[in-house]
Amino acid sequence: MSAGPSTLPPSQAPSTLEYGGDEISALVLDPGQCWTRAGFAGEDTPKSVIPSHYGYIEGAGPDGGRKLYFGDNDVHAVRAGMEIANPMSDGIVADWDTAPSLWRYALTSRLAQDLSEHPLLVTEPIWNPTKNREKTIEVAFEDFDVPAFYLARNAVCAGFAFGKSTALILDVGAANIAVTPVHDGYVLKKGCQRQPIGGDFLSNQIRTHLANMGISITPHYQVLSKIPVDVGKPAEATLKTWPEGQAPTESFRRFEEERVLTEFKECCAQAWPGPGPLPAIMPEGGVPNVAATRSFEFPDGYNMLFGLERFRMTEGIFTPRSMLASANIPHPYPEHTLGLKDMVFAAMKDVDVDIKQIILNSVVVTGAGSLLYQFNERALHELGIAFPGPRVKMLASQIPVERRYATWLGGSILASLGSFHQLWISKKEYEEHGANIVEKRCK
Amino acid sequence: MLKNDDWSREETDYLFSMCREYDLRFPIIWDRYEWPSKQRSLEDLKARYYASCRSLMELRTPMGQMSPEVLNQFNLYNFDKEREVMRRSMAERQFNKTQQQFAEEEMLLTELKRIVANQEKMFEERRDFYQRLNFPTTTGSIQPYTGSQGLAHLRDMMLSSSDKSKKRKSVALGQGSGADAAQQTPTSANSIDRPGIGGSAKEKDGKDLKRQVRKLTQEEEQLYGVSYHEKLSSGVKLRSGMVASNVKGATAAKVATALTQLGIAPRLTMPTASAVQRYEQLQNAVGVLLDSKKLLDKLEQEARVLKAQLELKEG
Repeated sequence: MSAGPSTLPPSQAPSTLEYGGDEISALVLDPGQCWTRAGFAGEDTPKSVIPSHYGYIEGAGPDGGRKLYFGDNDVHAVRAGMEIANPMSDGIVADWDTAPSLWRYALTSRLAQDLSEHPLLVTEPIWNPTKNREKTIEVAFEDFDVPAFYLARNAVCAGFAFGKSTALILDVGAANIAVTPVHDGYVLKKGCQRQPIGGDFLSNQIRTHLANMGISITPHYQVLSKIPVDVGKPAEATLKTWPEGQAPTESFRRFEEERVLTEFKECCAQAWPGPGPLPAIMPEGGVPNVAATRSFEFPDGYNMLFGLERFRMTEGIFTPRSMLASANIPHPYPEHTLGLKDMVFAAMKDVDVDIKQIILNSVVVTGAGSLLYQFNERALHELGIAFPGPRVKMLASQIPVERRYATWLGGSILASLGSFHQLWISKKEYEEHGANIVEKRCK
Repeated sequence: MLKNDDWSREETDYLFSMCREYDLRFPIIWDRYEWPSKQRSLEDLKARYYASCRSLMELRTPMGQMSPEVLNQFNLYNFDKEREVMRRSMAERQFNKTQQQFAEEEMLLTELKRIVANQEKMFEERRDFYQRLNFPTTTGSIQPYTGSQGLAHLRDMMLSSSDKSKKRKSVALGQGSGADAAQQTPTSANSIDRPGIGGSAKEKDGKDLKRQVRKLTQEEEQLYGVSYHEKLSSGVKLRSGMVASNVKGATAAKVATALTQLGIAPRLTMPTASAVQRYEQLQNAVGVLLDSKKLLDKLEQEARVLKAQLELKEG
């Protein structure tokens, strides 16, 4: 992880000398529910990170079709009639009309001009169905015209980022929390677990709580000016107005509200550090030191102190029964949802007893959702309860960037290895065997 | 031989293809194993695989004709399913142990260790105790020690034995000092080695020289004064200081006084090789003479005592 490669201009592939001659300037693409990450293999961070959400205006395209907007700047720009959508659902591609364009944008806007010169490694979640996998290789060879392709499991990549080929991967993504045992670089399919209690779930929990408190969220783009107000006093902000028909769409508003919720998540939300679940009623003697109140100022100037609620919002991850429920904000069924501890327990149930201890010795925590304050402490407590005997060792990078991009980083390491080159699926092989080759080659 | 009622040919082929695919990583093979209407445990797969391998090996070469390596391999493939199942269930139980159970186990183990240590100590003490209770049994008759002369003899014996033990002690001490010296030598050797940068080169030269040396005949040896020594310590020494005396201890001092009485200096003025040799011989001879004189004195004394006793008895 030298500082060298990061100082290169983003459009330049690292020199071959730097990577011992194995450099083939491969590209690595890690499409996630919330962010799509792309970069050159062999580097330590993706150079192109764009939101998986995209904007579109119906009928504004060149031939009367959709006009698409990708990338941070365009997606957040206020445009009349621009709708926001996401081609991903549940961590996998659902809209195959847009996803290739989004990927092309991620790869070509900053990195490579001509995709036919760069082999491409794409990561995928474990639950990616065969149809989707075949579609991915089709897009790569027929749409992008890449010379070689590989589809890697994201859990395996996350393990590689920590130098582990045998590990338990705890991936806290936007759509899901996924627990995946990996042995010798192979995913143990029987042990894969996922629950829809990731970052989006957390945002919805916060949304529910704010709705229950009667706080409405005003996104940044609506605020023209604001005056400071006292805690809990109504906001005194001047809001922007748009002429008839020029106002941003409802989906754009919702997307921008999510940004405020993300901010709240980063500033205020906190996992109850344990041990044990968050008590329903705080014991007499007051709130412990960790639960000190924090204030949060909304974009319109309204500010409020948050105390114990900060833990209530996140407790659903660990004990789904205590999640906040609301009629009009979606949430999973608490009865059918497994908490983190139960997920890990279920994942380890079907793992061979001889490798259980090795796997539990390296529990890799990754995904931006795991950056929730004190998430790791709580997770370690929960694992300690689930597996009292064996020593559970948790690996989590203290650097936020590495935690967010661990999967991409693993893919970058994998694609830059000399011994990996024999695993690429070449264009010729694809033409010979068809899309089904991905099932045979990318286990 | 390869047939198994539970395993169809197709399924066995499938198992072998999986084994090839995943390089015999059985946990993964078991994880990915999908055969319609069959639920196989990891042990089932392993048992079938190894049994097939053994059968195949035996079919290709009968057991009697196998080379030792192959036979070794053949024996390694002996997979005991029941035992493996038992081992795994035990491992599972071990895995599911709680922290309290672990702590308890640890406590019991330390307790056991303590008890064993105590028992050993007790046994030792008991043995010691028994030894103390047992008085030493006499082996020979006490007749020889009844008289005053016998008692004197006994006293001599005891004294000499105590002398011996003293000697033993001194020997032990000497060894200790020797060890010290040995410890010191490497440092001195180091100090010698250090200034010579070309030390290793010199050594090499020396070796080469040794190789070139031709064997001298006896005449030549005498002519050139070449001699071989059994024990040589490093450093330059005077031959006069190297005079070895075969006589040791109390006799050495007596030999020295005898030599001074004879008017021979303790150090040779001209210590040529032959002179030193003769000197050593002289010393030896004097030592032998002195020893025999001492023995003679003793015998004469005894004879006198016995004569006196005889006179007393007769008289």
